[in-house]
Amino acid sequence: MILLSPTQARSIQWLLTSVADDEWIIGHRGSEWLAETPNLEDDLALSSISQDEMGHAQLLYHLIEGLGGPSPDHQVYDRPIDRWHPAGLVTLPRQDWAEWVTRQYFYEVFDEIRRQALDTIPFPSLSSALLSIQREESYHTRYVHTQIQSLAFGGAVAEDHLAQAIAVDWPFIPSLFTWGGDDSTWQSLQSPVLDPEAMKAAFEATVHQQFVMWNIPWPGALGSIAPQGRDQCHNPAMAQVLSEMATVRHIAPESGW
Amino acid sequence: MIKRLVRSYWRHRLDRAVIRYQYLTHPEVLRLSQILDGWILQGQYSLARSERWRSKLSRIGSIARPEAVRSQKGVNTSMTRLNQSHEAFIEHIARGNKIEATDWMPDDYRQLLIKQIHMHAVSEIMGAYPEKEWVKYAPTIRRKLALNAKIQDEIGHGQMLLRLAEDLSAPYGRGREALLEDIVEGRVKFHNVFHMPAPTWADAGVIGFLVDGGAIITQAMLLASSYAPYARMLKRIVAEESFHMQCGESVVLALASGTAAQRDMLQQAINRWWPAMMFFFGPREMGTQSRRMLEYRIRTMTNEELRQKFLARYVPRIRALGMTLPDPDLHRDLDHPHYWHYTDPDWDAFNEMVHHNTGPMSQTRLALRRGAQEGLAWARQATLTAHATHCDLSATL
Repeated sequence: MILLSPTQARSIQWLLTSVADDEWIIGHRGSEWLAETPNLEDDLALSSISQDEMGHAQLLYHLIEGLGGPSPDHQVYDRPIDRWHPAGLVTLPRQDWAEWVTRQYFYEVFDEIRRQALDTIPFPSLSSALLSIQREESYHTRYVHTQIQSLAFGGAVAEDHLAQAIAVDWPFIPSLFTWGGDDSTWQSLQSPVLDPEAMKAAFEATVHQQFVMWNIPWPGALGSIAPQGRDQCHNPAMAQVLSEMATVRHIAPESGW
Repeated sequence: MIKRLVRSYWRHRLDRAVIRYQYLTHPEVLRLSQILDGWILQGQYSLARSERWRSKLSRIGSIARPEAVRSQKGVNTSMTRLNQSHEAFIEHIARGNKIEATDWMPDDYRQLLIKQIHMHAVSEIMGAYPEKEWVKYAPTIRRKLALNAKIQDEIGHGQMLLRLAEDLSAPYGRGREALLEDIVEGRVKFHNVFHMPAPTWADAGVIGFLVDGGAIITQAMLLASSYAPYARMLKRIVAEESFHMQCGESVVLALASGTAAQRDMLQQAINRWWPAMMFFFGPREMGTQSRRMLEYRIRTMTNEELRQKFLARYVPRIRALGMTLPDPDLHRDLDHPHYWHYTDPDWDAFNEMVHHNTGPMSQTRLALRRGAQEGLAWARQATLTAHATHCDLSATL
């Protein structure tokens, strides 16, 4: 059994909170598309993906609980907005279908890079969770690749939708690479691949290669990574999401639901 | 020469239509259908080839009545198995035999099946909307995941049932797109309960508890349907619906054992859904088509038998929760204790709602469906275009 130092445990909590919050919010946003996608088959796939993402969040919130944090339900329903740290990209309100496909694509590319980085942390419970998550994520990647290729090769109208979607999402992508807390959190875990700049470089390389393959015009260099970039999520749209999520539960906060 | 020119013209029109189906107008489709039927009857054109064309043209709508053509040509494969007469067919199913999709069947049997299965499919799809409204408000992680999964199942049922309806509708040239367009065009009904508002979390629970509970009773009866593909598919659907009912029951139990506010929320929801559930099983006296479905053993119980089964199952359960039912006349018959007396719902009001989509939430939910069907038609077209130009998209991964 590996004993974590209090500093390491605190750092892992910070990192996992960012990941779990991303997974929860993108799952929540995905569920907004239930029964409203172009095909019934997309409804089925997207619903599975949303359930998977929220399930991953629940798994990670459990790990945080094991490190001394509150219960998963408490983290989802009772945490004030200033203690949430999802990336700005995943919190964006629902827009066009092409924007959702594009957002999912960018998120899945990034998430794979991040999982590989997290796997370097010597914490067996996390490694085991990542293994389980990876099995499901590979299907998500296949789905979003098929979808984005449909947009890329789907004719002029689809190409227009795709170009607009990329223009909307691109400025929010740097928010993905930061972790919760300051730089000392990831630095204390002594794994260079956790460096936001390293993840950004890996992301750009992957997306660039795939855009070339799919004839998607390159939108230009990504913006710089802002320190505390995840604080971008403390906005009215996110406040509304949290308020909606807690509406029913707060009718009787101490009661069973 | 003239015939060759006409044929050449129509082939040209049809080829263009297959590529860009909107090039063909509806009157042109009807004319084309007549010409195709004529060629088939004269042995100048293969039925299989014409069926392929009809299938490709499904977006445009119903064309012709191929059963008449089939019968005259005598091309059906089931000729050796079934004498193609109504009496023989009735006798065949009365012996407990099942009908497969490729068997010969009377036109009205096919049409009744299409009507039943299409409406069932559409009700599953439209049933997703009232519960979807509550996913973002679900009060625990477990409830949120369960509700998501339940809605996914309902859409899955709709998708599977539409495939059955597509098979049955193929001779009429109607495919997925046409069957889904029928919803937004108001050409197909969906269950009365999905026209109703679901204003609280308790409604999400009561839908699972009562509506899915009612659906299980109806669908369990359909397991004995004479149409084998429907009966087979319903095995899976009924199994999943029982999970849905348990999900709803679990929500209802939590509310019933909660605070006064939670119990009140539950009571209000039961009051709202009860009259709609009485309508759910249909009128006391069944209409001509429902009776015909009994004759054909597409269904095997009357509306009243189903409703009585529901009352016997749910009245004691709801009362055991300490909840009341909004029907002062609800009681067992003194002489026939298995029979429940109940107050009739407002048949006219519910009928109007179902036939004309005039329920409190009909148009709101149809607007969501329209957004997916019409608003995202461009995305479906993009998928077709991408697959046509890049046959195996996954190969580029």
